[in-house]
Amino acid sequence: MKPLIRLAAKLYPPRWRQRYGAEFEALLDDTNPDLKTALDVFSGAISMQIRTWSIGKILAVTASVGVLAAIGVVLAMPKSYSSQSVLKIATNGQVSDADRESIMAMANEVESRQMLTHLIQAHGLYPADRSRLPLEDVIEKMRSNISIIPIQSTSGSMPAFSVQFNYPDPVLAQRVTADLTSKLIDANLGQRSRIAFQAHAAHRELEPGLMLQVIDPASPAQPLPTPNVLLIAFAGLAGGLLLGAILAFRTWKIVAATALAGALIAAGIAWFLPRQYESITVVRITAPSPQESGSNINALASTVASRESLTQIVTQFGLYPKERGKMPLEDVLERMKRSISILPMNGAAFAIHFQYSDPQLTQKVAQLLAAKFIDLNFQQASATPNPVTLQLLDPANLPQNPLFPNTRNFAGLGLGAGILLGAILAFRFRPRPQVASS
Amino acid sequence: MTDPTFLVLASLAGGDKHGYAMMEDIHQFAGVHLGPGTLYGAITRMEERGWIKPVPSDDRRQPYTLTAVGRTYLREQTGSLSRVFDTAAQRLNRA
Repeated sequence: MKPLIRLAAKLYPPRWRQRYGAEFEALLDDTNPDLKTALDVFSGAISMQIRTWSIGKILAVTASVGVLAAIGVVLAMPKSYSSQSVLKIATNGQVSDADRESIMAMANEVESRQMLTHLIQAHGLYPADRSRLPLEDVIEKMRSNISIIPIQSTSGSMPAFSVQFNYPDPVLAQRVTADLTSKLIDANLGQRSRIAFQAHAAHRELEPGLMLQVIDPASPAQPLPTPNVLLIAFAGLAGGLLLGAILAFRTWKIVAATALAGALIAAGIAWFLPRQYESITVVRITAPSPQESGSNINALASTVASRESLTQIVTQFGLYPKERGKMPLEDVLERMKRSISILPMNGAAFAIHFQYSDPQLTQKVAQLLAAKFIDLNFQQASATPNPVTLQLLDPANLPQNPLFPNTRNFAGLGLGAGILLGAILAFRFRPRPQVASS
Repeated sequence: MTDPTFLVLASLAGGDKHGYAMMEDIHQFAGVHLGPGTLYGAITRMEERGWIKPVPSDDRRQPYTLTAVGRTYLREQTGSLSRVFDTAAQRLNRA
């Protein structure tokens, strides 16, 4: 331990060592060389270093350490991939509560301990976790990576649901999703056979039950969105500045108070800003060639976003009432055009995004835009020998949370601004060295 | 009562001492074990403030002594702490 303590003692600033070095070494010779002493000497050296630094240097070092630590955390986070399949619920009429219960029962069966244990062993999932955790915990972890989510239609019924599995290996993510999907189909078949057997035994007429169909098999796994590096780096910067201000001025209360006030004021501003929602719908493309699908979608997009088409949508839903009173229709249509995005998805589908201030209208317009694409394509297809077909894959969602303003981001910015203000105030009102009255 | 500054001043009030002697003395009268880093952090601050000063010595171990300013400061601190302790004791007796 002695060499470690000597090394820690070398971390003191040179000027300090010049003045106290010899006597400090004499003291270290007398002291018990244990870990506690080593840590004490190390923290004393750091504290003494900071005392010799200028305020700017302290803030720069702590802010840089904060940013680097935050980026390090983001980079150290394991990458995860997600694969998804979509199952359609085929029933005679609307999906009833009994159907919902039956789907829940199938989902529970698929996520049961026995089923997940089998999948873990068959695919060799979570090898590192299995070597250090009890199987129950590994099963729980796997369960948290599986999502069986209903896809709501506009009428509120549940025409389909998606099965999603997240895993660090993209190939295994897809394989396990495929297995989970086929196990759901098996569970459905089992349920249907039981119903048929019971009806037969009771001499009742067989009621056509719920049937699941795979409409989208397990997709190649896509990387899950990584956290916003800029936002995390900013949080690291803010944390570093806060620590720096506390170390430099030793008046953490001012910095903490202004940081809190900044965060609250920014969150308040976010609350009063007009909200912007986004609804997304996905349309599947079946085309003889990818080039054909691309050019076809571009042609359809220009017709759907034409002046005539958008005017009809604006009038039908009474969109942009304030803007229509203030600016010419052309400008309103231009604004609406900027709120629509058509984004291709691996050539096999495309997503339509629409942003607006009212969540219900956002959903309705996204839905109408998708319908316009499908109708226009249908009209064109009748005159073509090898037509491109479009099919609604994901109905427009009802946005729950606004896209803008993001209250958390606003509060984070307010926190950062509050810390900066606090640092300035703390510098202005920093305590002066105490001199005892004689 | 674990403020290193106060403990070092209290130790030096009993006579000049070098670092290790201060550590031993403080451990004996206050039951607090000051590490070398903490002790020399306090010594550096107090010397800058003029509360203590080194005493000439031929030994590697450097002894320190209280200055008049340091003695006054310690007296002020002890006075105010005594008032706090007396008040607390009186209130405890009444309760």
